[in-house]
Amino acid sequence: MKGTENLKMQDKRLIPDSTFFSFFLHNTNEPDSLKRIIAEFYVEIPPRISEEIKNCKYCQSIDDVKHKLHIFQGNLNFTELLKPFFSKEEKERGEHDVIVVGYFCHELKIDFLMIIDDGGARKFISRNFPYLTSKLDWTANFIADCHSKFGIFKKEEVLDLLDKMGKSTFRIDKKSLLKIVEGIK
Amino acid sequence: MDSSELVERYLILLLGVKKEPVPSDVHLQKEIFILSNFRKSLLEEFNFQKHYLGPYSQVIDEAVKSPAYFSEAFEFDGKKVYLSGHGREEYLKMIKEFQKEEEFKLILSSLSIIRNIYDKLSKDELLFLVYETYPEYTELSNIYLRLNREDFTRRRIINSLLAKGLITDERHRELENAR
Repeated sequence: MKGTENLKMQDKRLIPDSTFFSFFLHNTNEPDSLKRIIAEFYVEIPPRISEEIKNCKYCQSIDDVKHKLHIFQGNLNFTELLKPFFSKEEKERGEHDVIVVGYFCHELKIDFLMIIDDGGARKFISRNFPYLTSKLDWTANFIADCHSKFGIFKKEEVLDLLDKMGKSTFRIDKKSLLKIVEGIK
Repeated sequence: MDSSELVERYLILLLGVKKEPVPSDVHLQKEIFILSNFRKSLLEEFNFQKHYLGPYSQVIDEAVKSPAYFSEAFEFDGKKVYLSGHGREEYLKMIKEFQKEEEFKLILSSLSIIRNIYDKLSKDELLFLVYETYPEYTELSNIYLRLNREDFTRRRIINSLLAKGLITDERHRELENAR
């Protein structure tokens, strides 16, 4: 399953929001699936998202791959750039940080993919940075792509993950989920 | 590099990162203020004070009017601020010199995102959002009082920000309920 496309994936930055990590480490207990994704991408973790991951029930399950995550540190405070445009709760969730990192990748001509499930943040991108929308995905859709596009999971594994998503407290519109599942079948 | 030179270089970068002028001197002040919060070490260089227009840096004002290092780099037509031909040359020189440095690239990207979004705000919208986000700078501001004195003015600005897609629905609700 792993062809040349997988080799190229190592150069692709994956910038997920906190709900993506919550799905694997809080809404379900699927750290191994997350580790398989982390193994294939260069994963960027903005500071706020890093804090949110620590609040996940099973966050310690990925301690052994933490060195593969690129967690932003240092003297640059990413949160400040779009701070005035988002609510306090949105800022705590950190989607605006994902947008900033995505924008930086775009400026630096680095291949990337943002995973954002929050409708408000997605709308903000489409209104203000429409050229970034092609680099935007949902958690559920990305998991489906992990079979059809990236070859990380087998079809049955993806169907199992999406089934768990539907039964968990992960917030997703059931019709959209069903559509994705049908697309895989 | 001394403080004045550093300040002028940052101003050249902010103005140079887009071909269009910065919409007003207020935009220039607040955009550098946002940048300084992104890179905290700059807050000291620009020395922002509480002012009737919110956070204000006299250093910026003086650098644009009478630059010490890059003479005639800046143009201010009473409304918009932009680089002169000489200023543009200095901008291109900096890009050429530092383009491979990682931190320089991040600063340039941050300036680009700042210009691309804050330039879209009207002066009132910009001041309103800065006051709401950094309330510690409203103390001496009579503009803040004007923008908040009447519910009508406040609501007009909040609704305009939402209509332009510049704030999220959640931020809109938060601002509506903030009083």
